[in-house]
Amino acid sequence: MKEHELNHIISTIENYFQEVSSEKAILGIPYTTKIDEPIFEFTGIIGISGNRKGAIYVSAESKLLEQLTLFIIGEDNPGKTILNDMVGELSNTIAGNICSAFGNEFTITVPIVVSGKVNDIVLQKLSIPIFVIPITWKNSKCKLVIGID
Amino acid sequence: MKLLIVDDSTIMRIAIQKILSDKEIEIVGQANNGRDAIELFKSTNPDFVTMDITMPEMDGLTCLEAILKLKPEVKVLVVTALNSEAILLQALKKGAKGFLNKPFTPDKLRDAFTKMVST
Repeated sequence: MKEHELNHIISTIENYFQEVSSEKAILGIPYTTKIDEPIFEFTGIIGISGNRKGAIYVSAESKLLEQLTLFIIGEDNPGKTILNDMVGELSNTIAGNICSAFGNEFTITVPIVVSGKVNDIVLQKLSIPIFVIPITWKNSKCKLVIGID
Repeated sequence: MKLLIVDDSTIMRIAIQKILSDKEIEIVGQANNGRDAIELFKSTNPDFVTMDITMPEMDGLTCLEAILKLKPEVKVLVVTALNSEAILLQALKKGAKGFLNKPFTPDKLRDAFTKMVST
């Protein structure tokens, strides 16, 4: 992945949280990994095809998803079904928003959502090198993991 | 004014419903994929539709073409996370009357819907 593409992804994440909540997300320093990357309780996986192949996933703590849900629909005690939906929509929106940096043939799938620690399944789709961007928003955490050839 | 909401995300459908529901707009149905949206379109006969693109079973652009064949005067606002110019042009070429990227604020959705209604 090129530097300008990574910069675009960073801007996309910042814009998402700013637009939804008017509160900034704090992004950690991106790093690469080739080994099992720990994931949080809820993970949305988006497959990438077309001129680039691989996957993106957004993995989040339930606390972050609960706060997003509160901002977006005013629901303050969402159940697991809504949290699954929220991480799916979060991953879908970020993946869709980065399209413009990757060309017209960049195609994304509908999100697959997994709950809990399922590292083996999640990491299969990623192309190496895998980049991780840690994100903190309202004292809760998520991460974007992207592996596109 | 009758509105049909089409999005595979429950949260998005709830958000759109909450933002656009008022005395003048009646939400007549919600669908989570393009195929179900067509059936619901036939039974509810809406004046307006908000349409996501990336959905299971049938994507939003295919659904858009189908419902415009059923009712050419219906106005469709595409609401999507896909922000490429190519997608925008495709949607407009297929007959969408408006295009709004996610994430959106309530004001942006209301503005986009109002603009579509007045076209």
